[in-house]
Amino acid sequence: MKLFWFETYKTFSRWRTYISFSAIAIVVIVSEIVMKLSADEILYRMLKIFQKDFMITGNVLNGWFVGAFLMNTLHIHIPFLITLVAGDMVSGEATSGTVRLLLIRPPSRSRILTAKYLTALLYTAGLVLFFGFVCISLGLSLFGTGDLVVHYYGRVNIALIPESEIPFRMVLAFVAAIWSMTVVASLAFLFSTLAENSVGPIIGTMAVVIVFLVFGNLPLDFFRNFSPYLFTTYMNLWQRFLDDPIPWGNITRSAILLALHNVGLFLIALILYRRKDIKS
Amino acid sequence: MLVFSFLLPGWTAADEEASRYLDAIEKKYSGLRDYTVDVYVHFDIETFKAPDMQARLYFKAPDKMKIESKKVFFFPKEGGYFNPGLFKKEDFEIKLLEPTTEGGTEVRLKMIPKKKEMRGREFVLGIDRKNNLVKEIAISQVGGREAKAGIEYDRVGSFELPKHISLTLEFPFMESNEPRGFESVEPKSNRVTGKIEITYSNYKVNTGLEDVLFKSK
Amino acid sequence: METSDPQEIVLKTHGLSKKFGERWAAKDLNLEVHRGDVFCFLGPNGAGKSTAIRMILTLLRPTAGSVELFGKDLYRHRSEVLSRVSGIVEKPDFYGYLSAYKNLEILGSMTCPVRKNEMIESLEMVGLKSRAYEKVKTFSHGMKQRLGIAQALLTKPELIILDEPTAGLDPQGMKEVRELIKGLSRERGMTIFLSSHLLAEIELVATRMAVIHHGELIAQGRVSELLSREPSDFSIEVTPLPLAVQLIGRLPWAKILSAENGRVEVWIEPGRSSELNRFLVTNHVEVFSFSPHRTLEDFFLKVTEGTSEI
Repeated sequence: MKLFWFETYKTFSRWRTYISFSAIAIVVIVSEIVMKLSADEILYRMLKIFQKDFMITGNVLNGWFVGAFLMNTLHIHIPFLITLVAGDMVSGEATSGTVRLLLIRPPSRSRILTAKYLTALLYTAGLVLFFGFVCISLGLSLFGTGDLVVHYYGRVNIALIPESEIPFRMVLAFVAAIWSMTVVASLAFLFSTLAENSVGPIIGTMAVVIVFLVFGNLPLDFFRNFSPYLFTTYMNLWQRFLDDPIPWGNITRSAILLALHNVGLFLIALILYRRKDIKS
Repeated sequence: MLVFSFLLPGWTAADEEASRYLDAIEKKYSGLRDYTVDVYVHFDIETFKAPDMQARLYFKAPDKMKIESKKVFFFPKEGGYFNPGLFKKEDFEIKLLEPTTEGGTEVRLKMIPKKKEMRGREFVLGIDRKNNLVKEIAISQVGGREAKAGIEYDRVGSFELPKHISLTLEFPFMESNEPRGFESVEPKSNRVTGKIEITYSNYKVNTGLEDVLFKSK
Repeated sequence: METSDPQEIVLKTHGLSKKFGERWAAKDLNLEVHRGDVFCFLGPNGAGKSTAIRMILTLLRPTAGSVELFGKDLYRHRSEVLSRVSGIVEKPDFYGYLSAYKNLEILGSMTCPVRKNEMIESLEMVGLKSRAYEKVKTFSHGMKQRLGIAQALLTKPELIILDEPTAGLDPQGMKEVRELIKGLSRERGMTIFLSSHLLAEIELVATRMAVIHHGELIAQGRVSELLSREPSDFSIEVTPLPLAVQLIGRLPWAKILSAENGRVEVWIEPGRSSELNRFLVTNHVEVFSFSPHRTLEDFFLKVTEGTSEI
C-alpha cells in the first residue's frame, strides 16, 4: 500500500497529470454551452428519423441526455489522455534517471511495477469519473432532469429510460467505461516498460487503438470475424447499460474479455520488466 | 406510419357512395368543438424500448392539438388523436373496395392523398357504415413501412370517441455498422414488427378551450 | 590473490559475469569486500565497473555467477539483504518536481520507516538543510550529488555502494566527499564499496581495492600490500649526497629521479634494492633510510599493461 501511495503521490504531483483533466473540462464545458445554444438543432438531428412519425414532448434534452451524448466521444479523446500518464509510468523513470535509485530498493520489481500499474488504473478511473461528473453535473444544471432517450444516430432503435432508473444505470455505465479504458492503460503501461522514454509508448498505444478501431468498424466479413477479440470493440460497453433490457450476459462476456486483456498485458509487462537490464 | 385520422376522399371523379360515408361521419362529429383526454400509451416494438407513457391531450377544432406530459412522451403523429376536422374528401382520391364483414367493418375505402406533403402513402379505411365509425385504418408507405390501426369507441356524452387504438407496425430492419462482439450478429428477419396500444380515458368534451393554451411550447 | 576470513565478508561475488551480445562486459569476477573496508573498484572507463555494480544492485541480471551479501544469496534474499545496503549508480537523479525532503521520504521509506528528524539530519549532514523544501529541479549537480549521499545514508545501511561518487564535482566537492567517506568508515563502521577511475582519489581513501580491465579482475587485495609487491622507485636518505649520486649514476640498472635535501629518489630494476644498499654502504655512503616509493598509478598502469604479476 505504501508503494501505491507513493506512486499515486508522484503521479498527481506533476502538473502534466492535470492537462488531461483540464482538457476534459474544456471539452465538456464548451460542448454543453454550445448544446444549450443549439438545443433545437440537436434534437432535430438526433431524432429526425422519429419526428416524421412521432410527436415528441417533455424534456428530452436534459442533463442525462447530454451526458450520454458526450459519453459517445469517450473512445475518441480519453484513450489519448490515458496514454499521456500510463505511457510515462515506467519509461518516465528511465528518462529522468530515477530508475537507478528506485530499483535498488528492497521492494521487488514486481511490487514496484504492481504499484505503478494500480496507479495507472486509478488515474484512468479518475479521468473517466471526472469526465462523467463534469458532463452530468453541468448537464443537469444547464438542462434539468428527465427521462433519458437513448438513440443511436441513423438507427431506428430507441430506448427510453425512466428517470428513476438513470442514476443506477449511469453508475454502472461509468464502471463499464472505466473498465474498457483500463485496457488502454494496460497497453500503454506495457509499452512503457519496454521503452526508455514516453513518446514511444504514447504513439504505440494510440496506433494500436486506431488500427483496431478501423479494423473493427470496417464492414467486411474478414474483419468481423476477429472484431470480437479486439478490445476496442468494447469501448462502448457502457452503452449496454442504457439498453432495455440490460444485456447482462453480453456485458459479462465483454467484461471477462477485457479482464483477460488486462491480466495478459500486465503479466507480459511484469515478466519482461523483471528480466530487463537497466542500462540507463 | 399511421395516419389514422379520418381522411375524407376528395376525388374530382369521386365515387358517390364512398363520399356518402365520409359525409355521414363528418356530420356525426360536426358538434365536436374541443376535448381533453388522458392518453396512456404502451409500446411493444422490438427496436423501441420504452415504459408505458401518460399524457394529457388537448384538441380544439379544426386542427389545434397539444400534449402535456411531465415526462418524455412519444406520440404517433397525424393520427394519435381523434380529429374530425380532417374529414375533407376534397384532399383525397377515393375508391370503394370490396366490402368485408371482418371486425364489424362493412365498407372499405382506398384513399390516396392529393397533398404533396402526404404523397407516398396509401390509406385503406374500414368503416362501420351502420354506426358511421371508422373501425380500421391501414397505411402503406414508400419504403415498405406498413401500419394498421384497430379502433374501439366509447360513448362520451353525445359523441362516440375512441377509447382504445391498437396499432400494428412493420418496417424494414436497418443493419448497424457497429463493431460486433460475441452477440449474435445476424437478425432473424429483415423486418421489424411491433404494436402500440393507446388508451383514452377521462374525456372532457366542449369545455371551451382557449387558443392561448395551444400557443405555449 | 589474498584470501580472507569469511565471517568478515560483507559482499562476495562468485564468477560474476555479464555478456551483452557477443561482448563480455564483465567476466568471472570474484570480489570480496570485508566489513569496515573502504573498497575501491578501480578501472579505466568501459572496464566493467558500472556493470559489476549494477549486477550487485540488481539493475542488471548476471549472465553467470552469483552475489552474496552478508552471507546470503542476493536473488533469494533480495528484500532482506538490500534493506541493509544503499547505493548510488552513476549520477543520482531525483524526482525534480518534488522537494528534497519528499524525495528522501519516498526513497527512504521504501527501505524502512524514516522519521522527519532523520531526514532533516541527513540533509544537514550534506549541507542541504536550508534547501529541504525546494524542488530538486532547482539543484545544481553538486547539490544533487550531496542529496544522493544523504539518501544513501538515511536508512543507516551497513554497506554503501557508490559508483563514481565524485564525478562532476569541483575539487572542493571531491574533497568533501572523500572526507565523508573516510568519516563513515572510521566513525560509523560502514563498509563502503566505491568505483572510480581517479587514482589519486582512491589512494587517499581506499583500504582495499580491486582492479578491473576489459571486464576481468586483474588484482585484488589491501592497497598497501598491492603497492608493496613490486616496488621499483625508492627514496633513500644518504650522506654525503653528491657521492651517492655519483655512485648510483655509474650503475646501469639504476636511475636517479631526483636528489636534494639529503634524499635521492631512484628507480631500480626489480629485485636489486638490497644490492644497491650494499653497494652504497661498501663505498662509504651512509644510508639512513631506504624505502619503496610506489604510487597507485604506477601499480595500475603496470597491471593493466600486463607487466605485473599478482
